[in-house]
Amino acid sequence: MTNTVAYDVRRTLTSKSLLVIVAIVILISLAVIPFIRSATSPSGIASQSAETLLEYQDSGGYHFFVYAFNGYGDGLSGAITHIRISASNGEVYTTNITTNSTGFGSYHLTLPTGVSAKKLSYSIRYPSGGLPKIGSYSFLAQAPGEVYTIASDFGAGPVSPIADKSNSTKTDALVVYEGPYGAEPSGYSVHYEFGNLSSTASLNFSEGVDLGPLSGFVTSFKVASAPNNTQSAIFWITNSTGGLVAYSAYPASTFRPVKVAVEATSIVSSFTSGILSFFIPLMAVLVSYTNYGKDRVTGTIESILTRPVTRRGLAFGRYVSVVLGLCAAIALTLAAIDLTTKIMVNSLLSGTFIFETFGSLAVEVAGFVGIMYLLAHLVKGTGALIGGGVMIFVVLDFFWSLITFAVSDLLGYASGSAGALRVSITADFFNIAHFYALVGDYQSKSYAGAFGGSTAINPASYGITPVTLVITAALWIAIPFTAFVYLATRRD
Amino acid sequence: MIVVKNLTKIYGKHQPAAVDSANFEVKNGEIVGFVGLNGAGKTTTIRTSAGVILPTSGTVLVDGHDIVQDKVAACSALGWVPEFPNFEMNAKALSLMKYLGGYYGIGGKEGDEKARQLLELVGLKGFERRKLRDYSQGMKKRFALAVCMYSDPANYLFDEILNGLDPEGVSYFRSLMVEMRRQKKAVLLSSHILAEVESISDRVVVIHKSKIIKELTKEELGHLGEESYRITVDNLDSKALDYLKGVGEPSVEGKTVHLTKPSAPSAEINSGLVRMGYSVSELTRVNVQLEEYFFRLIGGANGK
Repeated sequence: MTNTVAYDVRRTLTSKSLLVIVAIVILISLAVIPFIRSATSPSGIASQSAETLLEYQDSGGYHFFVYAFNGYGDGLSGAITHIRISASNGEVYTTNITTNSTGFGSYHLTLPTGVSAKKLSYSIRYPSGGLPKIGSYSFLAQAPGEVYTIASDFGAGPVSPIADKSNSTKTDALVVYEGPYGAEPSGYSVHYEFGNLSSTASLNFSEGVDLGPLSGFVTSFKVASAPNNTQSAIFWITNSTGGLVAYSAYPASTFRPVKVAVEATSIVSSFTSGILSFFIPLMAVLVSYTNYGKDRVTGTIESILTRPVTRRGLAFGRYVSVVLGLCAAIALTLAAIDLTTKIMVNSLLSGTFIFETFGSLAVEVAGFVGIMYLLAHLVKGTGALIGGGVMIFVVLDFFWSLITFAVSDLLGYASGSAGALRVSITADFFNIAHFYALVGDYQSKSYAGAFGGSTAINPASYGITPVTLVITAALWIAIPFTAFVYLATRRD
Repeated sequence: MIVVKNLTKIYGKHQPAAVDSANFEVKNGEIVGFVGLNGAGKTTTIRTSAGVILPTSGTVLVDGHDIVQDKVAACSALGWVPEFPNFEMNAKALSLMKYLGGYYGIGGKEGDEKARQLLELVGLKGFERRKLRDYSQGMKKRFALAVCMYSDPANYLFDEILNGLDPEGVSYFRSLMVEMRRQKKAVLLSSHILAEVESISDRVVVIHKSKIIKELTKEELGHLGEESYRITVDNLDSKALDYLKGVGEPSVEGKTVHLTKPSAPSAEINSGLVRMGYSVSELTRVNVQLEEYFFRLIGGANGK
């Protein structure tokens, strides 16, 4: 049997459909890598999660308001802010504020008469995981209803840098603020200035660029790129009378597109998800057709069936040999890409990236081969077989997003909402063509949307863990294969 | 030895049986002809016996090994040459031979040598590197035969192998089967060329409408070709039949009697019947060959 498996592996590796697709992928790599090499990379803000924590006091106590957001300023649900407040009477009050589906959260603390809050410490955990962000704040004497920024990930103040949604290499500004006594802000305007100031002491708040009014608790503004000869970026908020109410200061480089060193993995991962996840399943469909499906449907397989081999042995041998051949093709493709990046950017792909890419594509290949072999036992003609196989591939690879959109809509989730995101990710578990994307979600801790852009996620909260990925892979391999072997051994 | 026991094959739930409770055997050192009209069930019986399709019920034993339960042993002892060998047509003969040799546990250098030997044995020397799509029908059959010979099986299933062959090809396979018989191998030969079947077979199994309706023994085959009479008697009755039994071995089909092994000349039989008051509208002397016997047989079967 070893000879026969080796022959079938060789037959797989030399099949025209496989050779053509491997050549296409390698040629696209050669063509695309130079372009990506010279492209500007995002500053990194796009993949970060952040939160702004505001506070005001009144006769009723202390009021806290949080807004957690992703790198594009969109609300993040499930961010947990743990607050620990030490009071003047020696008591300690703790609570957790969890953001809702729009990213907002709030808390109200009432202290006994004559008791005041002295110090607050906090820790913030984001859905995407990672170490919590911690900090502390000492309460100052403040006028009733006056709003203070207690915590902001990027620095003091209510203004945070975010990635521009249409160009992630550019940085915009997000303002999280509330009016007196927690009211929706009204009559406030935002301004900024790039300069060479070492502090805000000498800044003339009456000057600067006017970004416009705050339109609610959360407002984003497009900001021009900071000139190369500037060192600082100052943002400030004025009230309806022009008085300063808050400000934030950042290095000017925060608002300047930064070209970062390009390494092989980032180059390849930026296009493999599209190219490989399209071509590798297609290759599996075509090779399965030529190396088993056609033999089965046209009766060529009978010349093997009459040999001293069990039906199960023949089915297993043909399956293993084709999957091995396709895995060898994937390895060959990755090796060619690795060699290309080594030559062009003098950097090799990371071992983790190769392992995860090869592993997840191997699972997709095994699943598609099983589905095609199963289909070969369900249809009678070559046209039905290749047509059915390509149709399955097209639905799973191209129209799946439309299906999940429709399901989200039926469930009442708006496009882009947390609910719709959960539906999309859950649906990926049921699509073998998206297994590679699922592994990518786990690895990057972000969900790549169907039409570009990505959303930071905590993979575990969506059920994407090493255990669930292994189980999903095992089921995608085992179910089509078992059904195929059943039909191959029990039916003509 | 090939034993077919109560073999039934039904292709679909609402389909009639393609083979219905077939029973026969092919002993070692015997060539058994397998005849029947198109769609009678010959190829289904052979394909089931070859392990290519699964029986609905019943069994096929090859040297005592069940073709389903003990397929590896059964197929090792069996060679199948179909009417239209269906191999991977883009493969080169030698490559495919070596690949198929893997299923017989023969590989490497030994596999290469063995493949070349077998191709030479069946007359394909010089065509080893040609693709099978460029082989003629006869060459494909020889190739199929060569593949079977990897295990030197003691049993062969030949399904219409003489169809589409040139005279040299027919002669080759005829000689081959005679040699196989000499080597005490069991051969089941299905063919439409009844004269060929008659000339080479030790026994003939007739299948009609999915059922085995007759098994002609060596002795019965020996009687074919002997003189017999076809007599049509308008007022045929038992008394006339008693008379005919006295002058031969009659078999009745309507008003017509086939009288084999006649002990009297046709004129004497005719005058005897007329004297007894019977109206004889036809009395023809015939030499019954397998073909005529076959059509008479299935005509009878049709009438049942």
